[in-house]
Amino acid sequence: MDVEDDARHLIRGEIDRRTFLKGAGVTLLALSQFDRIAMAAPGGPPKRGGVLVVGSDVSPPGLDPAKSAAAHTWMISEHVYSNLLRRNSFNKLVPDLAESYEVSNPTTFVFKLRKGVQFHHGREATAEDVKYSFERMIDQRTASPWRSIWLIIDRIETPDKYTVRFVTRRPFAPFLSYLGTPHYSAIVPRDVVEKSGDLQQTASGTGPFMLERFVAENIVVLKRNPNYFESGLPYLDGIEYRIIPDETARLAALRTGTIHYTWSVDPLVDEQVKTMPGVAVLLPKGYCGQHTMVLNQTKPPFNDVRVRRAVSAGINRREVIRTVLRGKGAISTKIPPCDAPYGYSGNEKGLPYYEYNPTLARQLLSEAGYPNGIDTSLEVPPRFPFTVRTGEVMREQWAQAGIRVTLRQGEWGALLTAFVRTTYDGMSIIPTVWQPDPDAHMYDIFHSDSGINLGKFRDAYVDQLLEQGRTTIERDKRIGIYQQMQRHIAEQAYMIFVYASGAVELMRDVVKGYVSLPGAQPGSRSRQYFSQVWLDK
Amino acid sequence: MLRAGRLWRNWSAVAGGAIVASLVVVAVLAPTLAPRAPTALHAGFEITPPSPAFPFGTDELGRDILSRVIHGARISLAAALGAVSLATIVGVPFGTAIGFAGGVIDLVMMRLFDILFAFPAILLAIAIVAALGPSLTNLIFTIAVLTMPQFAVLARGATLAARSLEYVQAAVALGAPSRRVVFGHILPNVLPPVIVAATLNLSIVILVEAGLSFLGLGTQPPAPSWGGMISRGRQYMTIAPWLVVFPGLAIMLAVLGFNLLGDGVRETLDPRLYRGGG
Amino acid sequence: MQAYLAKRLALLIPTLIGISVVSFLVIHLIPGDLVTVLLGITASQNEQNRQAIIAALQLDRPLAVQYLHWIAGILRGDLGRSLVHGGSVGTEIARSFPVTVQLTVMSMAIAIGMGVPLGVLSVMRGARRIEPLVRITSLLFISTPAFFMGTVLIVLGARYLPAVSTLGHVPFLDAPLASVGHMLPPSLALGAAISAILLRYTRASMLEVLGQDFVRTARAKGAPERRVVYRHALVNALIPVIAAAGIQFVALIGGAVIIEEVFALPGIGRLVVNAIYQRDYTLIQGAVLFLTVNAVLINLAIDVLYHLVDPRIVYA
Repeated sequence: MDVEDDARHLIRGEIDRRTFLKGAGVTLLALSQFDRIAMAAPGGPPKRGGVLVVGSDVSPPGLDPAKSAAAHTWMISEHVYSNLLRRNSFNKLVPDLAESYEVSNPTTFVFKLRKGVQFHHGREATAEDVKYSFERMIDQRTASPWRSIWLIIDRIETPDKYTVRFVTRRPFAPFLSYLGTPHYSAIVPRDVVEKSGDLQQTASGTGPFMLERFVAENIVVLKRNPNYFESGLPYLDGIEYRIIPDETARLAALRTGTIHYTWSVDPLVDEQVKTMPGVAVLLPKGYCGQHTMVLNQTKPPFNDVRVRRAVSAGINRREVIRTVLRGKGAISTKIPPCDAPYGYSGNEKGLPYYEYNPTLARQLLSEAGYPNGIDTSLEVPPRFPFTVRTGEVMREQWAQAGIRVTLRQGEWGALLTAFVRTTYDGMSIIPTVWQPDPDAHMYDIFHSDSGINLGKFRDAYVDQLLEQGRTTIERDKRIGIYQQMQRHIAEQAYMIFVYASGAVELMRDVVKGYVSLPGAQPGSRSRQYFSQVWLDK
Repeated sequence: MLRAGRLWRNWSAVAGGAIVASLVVVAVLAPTLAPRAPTALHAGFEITPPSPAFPFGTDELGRDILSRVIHGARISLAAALGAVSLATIVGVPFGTAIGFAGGVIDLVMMRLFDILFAFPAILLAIAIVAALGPSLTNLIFTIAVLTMPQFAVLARGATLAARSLEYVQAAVALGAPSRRVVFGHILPNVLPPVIVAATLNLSIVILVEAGLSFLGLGTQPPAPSWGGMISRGRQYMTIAPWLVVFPGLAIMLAVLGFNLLGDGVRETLDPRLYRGGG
Repeated sequence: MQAYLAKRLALLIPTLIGISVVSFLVIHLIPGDLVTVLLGITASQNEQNRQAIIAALQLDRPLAVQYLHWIAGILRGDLGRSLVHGGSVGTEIARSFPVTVQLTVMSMAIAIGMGVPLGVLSVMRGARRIEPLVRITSLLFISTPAFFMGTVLIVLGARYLPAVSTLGHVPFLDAPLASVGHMLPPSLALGAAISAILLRYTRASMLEVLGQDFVRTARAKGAPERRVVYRHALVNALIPVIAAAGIQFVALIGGAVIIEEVFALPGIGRLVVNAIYQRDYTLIQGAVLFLTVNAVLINLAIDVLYHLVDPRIVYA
């Protein structure tokens, strides 16, 4: 029984508000207790003290979650700021700064905040701060990447010091998910923002850790928040993020114990780590890392659906997963398997044109008027070697189907811009970021009116499904809509998805109490798990 | 001036020449010599150590490293010879002219070179590749642009030094025509450091390509450039050293060959240089 | 000499202006849109988001205006703020430049300390027999990419000397000894290759000078070998070597990116490259201007050094 179920029951009038408040309130608190118990088990009782050293490949450019779209900013801000809700180790939404909430009707959400929660700079967090945080993101002058998300809010009311009421313009299914996504909805203090201009170089939140020092490209140091509202936590004295861009160097640092924790997207890293005593490997719990391959559909040959289908059928996805990912991956659509049940979780036979069939591909090309196959190009980002390798393997496979592909590496900025604006010739593939809600995965890139429709295609049926998916609150119905959408997209091959992958986490044995959030992006670890981590020294 | 007969007797030139000639032969005959296609993937044979089937082992996608090293000779040689030729042909005459002309021209040109030189090479490389698009030709062009100033400055420096030598000043004072001064007196002083620089650069180009591959600006996949193979195989060095050892040996061989040959040529250019410990 | 210096300094102003223009233009001519890179795929889709950023960063003004605005700031001593995270460009440069300088100085020290003496030794009469060995060893160093040697050092270090941490940076002023120690592996990786280059330049240059008449005369007069080499040949041979070393030095300042990346050194090379990927125009412009001006001044210093070493070189 989770909060989403309760909310639905309430909306349907199946239980009354009192019952909801009682049940939900108890459930919410019980869930957080349960998490903590589950975590503490192996290794005996937690010991206090010590600094966890994390090796990060990329430095956060700045620390302001409302202004930075970089995943490595969130890695830090998740530990420093709280949200109204967060995801637990079972990927369910549970309360964070909010103590409880109710959804009185599909467009009204009322949150009750915990009392007595202190910001790091020493004053109490109130409903005003929540209101301010969201209004700041909506304010044009902040230039927040998340502004477009929160425009759905019509107004925010604060009837008393600990109560916040959100009213949305229309029913918006992803609303709670977004509130539970740390970087979209961090609660920040107005006075600190006004004093420093922004939170890029300073920080004050209500999270388990406080910012002590930030030297870009070098190190970020967090220290324990003694007044954290979950009493007893965190166990650690602090966390240090050392920026070590080169993977070989990071692994060497792990070997010597200079760092305690890092991650890698290289599926062979467990081989490399085999000879390191005292290092444990955590394989990905779910596959969330995506690749999106787009085709320029404004001109031949990809304006013809048969050619697109041929491209899809010309890929042996199983083989790509085996070769490039060493089997650590799964077939995927735009919504990855870790987002089940919205995401696809079957094999390649379950979706149209996903099964490898070069003969069919050649036939389709013939029908489309290309009996001798086609010549085209695929842009790949050298910044992501595994994407390049995927391209290399697919190129050999496509050759069997008469699709002759030239790989073109490009500089990241140029490549990303071309990808988003569909100004490349042929095809382009880049890794895309996990989104907290299926609507976020799909809406903007598939909608025909969107400025970044990837590939520039128009499909009224897809538009219709997108609108429905966004406004349907009923969960089972919503799942059905997205499943139908993905099937249709595979049928039309508007974009082609090869696999979903995951990151491998590497930890020294002294690190205890860590539980990985299934499928979280590398560099974006849920603070809950560092807040409950302890060092066995 | 270049006495071909003497070249034969210079161990350095002979050894170097032999190596370079072999590399050229390998590059030209690559498709015949390589046992397999360089881009072919062999399913199930990813990262296997050297074996009779794959004498140099296989890479992370199951490609035969021996075939890739052989084909890589084409790319590396083309890049090295192309970039250095371009840089020398443009840079040396330019630098000599500047040094010879002197005066305002020298001053202004050197300032322009200062700017070009001082500009961070990386930025220039990224700018050119981002603007022109990545390809072998553009790579050659980029490296030529990056290395040309070196040659110009060296040629200018040597020209200035030569101009101040007594016998050169004497020749000028005696009214020798400019052309004779340049070819007869200046050039013999300019050539030695330029030849050393050129031979060094032939090998440096291969390394620059490796560095650019590291940053993702080098040759395009799945092209088998030696530098690209090293920078991509580097991360697996501890578990699969053959990924970098064989392309590394190929680079070392090429560098050795180019430099030995260059040394030999320089030494025979003037028998006076041969004395004193060559 | 004074006249020469005066002329050079006078030309400095137009040079600097030229540099600023080039720095500004080159960056803006690289394709790829800052707004898209800043917002990432998720958020750049929304036209309103894009407009908000463009307005906030004033990207919609004409290039010439942006250039003048930037120059005006520089004349006030303000290099501007990073477009990506709003921090002061000056602070970023001040933080990262010393790291690169330390790396450069240590690498050049190793290179000169190893390369020049070995080059000199290799031309002495007695060295004739081991010369092929010297030549081949130096070529081996040249042919190994610095990042490769760096990786080998890191991997070996981690396996056999785990107590010694080679990564990251300790500021010199905080703990000089530890700082130098930390910088040693990357300096070795860079310095080894450069030492081989300097060795060869020294050798070639020495051979050239040793073949000249005045040296033959000294030898014929019975001067001891050492005196011939040191007094007569070395000083003259140094000129091209200084040129070569100078070139390397400048190249290192701007170009040690790869080593900085491999050894996790927060130097200015990495700063610039990351800024390029993020299209952080202000940061790139500021850093490039800084580096370029630096290099120009260093070149000026080297030219003066040239002159001091060999007063015979006439500058018209």
